[in-house]
Amino acid sequence: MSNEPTLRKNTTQRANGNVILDVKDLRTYLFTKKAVVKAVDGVSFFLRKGETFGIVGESGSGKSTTALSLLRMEPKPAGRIVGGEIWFYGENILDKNEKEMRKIRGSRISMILQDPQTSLNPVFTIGNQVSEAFTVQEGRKNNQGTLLQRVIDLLRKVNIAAPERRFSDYPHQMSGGMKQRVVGAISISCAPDIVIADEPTSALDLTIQAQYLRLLREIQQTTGISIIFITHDFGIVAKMCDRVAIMYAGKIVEHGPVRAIFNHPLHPYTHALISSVPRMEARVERLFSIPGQLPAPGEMPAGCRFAPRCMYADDRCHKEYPPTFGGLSEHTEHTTDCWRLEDPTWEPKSYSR
Amino acid sequence: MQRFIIRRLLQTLVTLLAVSIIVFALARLSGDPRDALMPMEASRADRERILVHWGLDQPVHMQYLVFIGNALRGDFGESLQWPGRKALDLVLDRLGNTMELAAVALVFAIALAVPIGVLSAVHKDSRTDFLGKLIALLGQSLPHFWIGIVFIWIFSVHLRWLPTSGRGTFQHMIMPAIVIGWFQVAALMRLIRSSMLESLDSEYVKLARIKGVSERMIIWKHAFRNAAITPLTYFGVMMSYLVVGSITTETVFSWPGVGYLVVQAVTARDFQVVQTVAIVFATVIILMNLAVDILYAYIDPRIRYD
Ligand SMILES: Nc1ncnc2c1ncn2[C@@H]1O[C@H](COP(=O)(O)OP(=O)(O)OP(=O)(O)O)[C@@H](O)[C@H]1O
Ligand code: SF4
Ligand SMILES: [Mg+2]
Repeated sequence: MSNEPTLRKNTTQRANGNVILDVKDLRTYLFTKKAVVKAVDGVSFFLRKGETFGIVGESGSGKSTTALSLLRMEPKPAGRIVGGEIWFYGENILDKNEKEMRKIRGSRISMILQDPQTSLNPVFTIGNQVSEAFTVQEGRKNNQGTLLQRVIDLLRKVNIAAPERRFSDYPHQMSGGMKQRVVGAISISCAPDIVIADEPTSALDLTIQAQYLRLLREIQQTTGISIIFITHDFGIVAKMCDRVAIMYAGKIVEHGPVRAIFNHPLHPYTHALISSVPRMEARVERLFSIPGQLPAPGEMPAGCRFAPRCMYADDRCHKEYPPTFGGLSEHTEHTTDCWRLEDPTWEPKSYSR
Repeated sequence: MQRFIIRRLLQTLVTLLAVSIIVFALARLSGDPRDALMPMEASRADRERILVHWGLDQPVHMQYLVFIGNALRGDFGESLQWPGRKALDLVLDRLGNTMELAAVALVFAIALAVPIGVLSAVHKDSRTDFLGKLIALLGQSLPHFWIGIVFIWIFSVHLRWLPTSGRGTFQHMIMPAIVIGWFQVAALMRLIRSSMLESLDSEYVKLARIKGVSERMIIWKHAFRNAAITPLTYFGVMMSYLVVGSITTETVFSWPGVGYLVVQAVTARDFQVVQTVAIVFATVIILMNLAVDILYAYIDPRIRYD
């Protein structure tokens, strides 16, 4: 059911120029004993060189599964990519075999996992784990001395104090923020084209979160790589990203430049998400939150997945998934999946705040 | 690390002390310990000699001190079955043979359990997984003496590949070691399998995949190195099974070890020897546990500084 975008105004849906990753109608299903979970169900987006692209959505909307699918690391054994294309520099990643994928992982596309605290192996030293990132991709042609120097340089690049001493530490001897930096260092060790950063869901500690965001910025400034940034928080997207996709129950419901979407959200779900972002100047105490929750995997609505929670839903919304509409004229890359946009002047009303 | 070792050494001393009290108390539970310590037909002179030797005419705590004092000097009394032989000498003479068999059995158990455990975790719910479980379960559910006799019947009597009993060449060791070791495979393999499954599902394995590490290195370096830590704690328990398992198996194969000796001693009501075996076995098991704990601390960096 890949819908051709219906033009709302005079729009072209796909922009050219420097697109290095082009995901088309990606479907990753999880075949569990109880049900087939359509964790990623027809997702399309693209990524330009040097930009930061956000994927935002509630917990369980399929963000991590989308990211892992790009590396062909969908959760095994339940997960399988059942359809779509992932074009990376003109080659479809879904056509690669495991050996070719190992060359792409780490060296061309890398990822900072959602939980950096547990992504370091407890029984190996930091130095061992960082240098492994080099040796895996380059073989053992480095001599130990230069390898050591490179690891130390890399750790310094992500602002780890006294890296020559930290080198022989084990992960449990480091603070959470430091582990995050080490994981960040590993992700850029082989100068990849793309780093996928899956933001920790339980980033309760605001300092660690701020460190993480600063680290990503630094990484991008020093290397100029493209970042796919995954988060719950539209407020952070607004600060970090150039373009954004809003994901809901395995689908991208709205997609476009951050400014355009932040100022003029067209999908009712995006609108609700943005209304829930606290504005600094307003200092709101209670946040708007969307009543209801994501549909359970077994009971996916036949039509628009957001229909059970949507205040604009009508009969058709419950029966048929909406087509993709273009955005306002000045934002040619803005697309939205919502029936209401058949009316070219429609906009979601402001929720009372 | 040093403090950890010292603390563990102290714990070991306390445990050994407890063992000595238990063994001491058991011999005195049933009234006059001489009834337990000596055969019924023992002469009056013998009974007198034991009375003085163990200080049985003195209060209980003094008796214990005498017992401990003798034990520390290596004096556990004389064997009744082989008069004139010291019980401890008899046991120590054979301890080497038992440990030799236990070591080969351990190597066999690990050599079988590690690949089976790892492969059945990697190929979870496959035919390999099922086959592994089957092999392991057979070893655990069939009694030692039965497997031993069947082995003798097949490999010694019919095929004439291996000697039926005794000790001497490596061939003598094969069957008893397999019988003792096989029993351990099931538990060990299950531990390795479950901790491998956990490791393979961890974030650090995911990160290793993201780095482009090959599947072989993922399994054996990243996952196994972590997964091996849990089964290691089981090694202490396993050692005690190996030692205890030697009792029936050594008897079936007439292996001249402590297990065979203790069965002979029980039959002959040679209580001094039985008591000595209890203490020696307990000491061996306790020391093995100590060694395992120290090894464990070396392998798992998180323990060292706690
Ligand atoms: N290994 C798995 N087996 C079965 N179902 C899974 C597995 N991993 C994820 N899922 C399911 O797939 C769906 C999408 O999960 P995913 O982790 O991609 O969400 P997410 O958007 O990353 O959420 P979060 O923000 O909490 O990280 C959820 O319904 C989840 O329960
Ligand atoms: S399609 Fe209908 S249910 Fe879905 S978001 Fe639009 S109005 Fe709401
Ligand atoms: Mg996630």
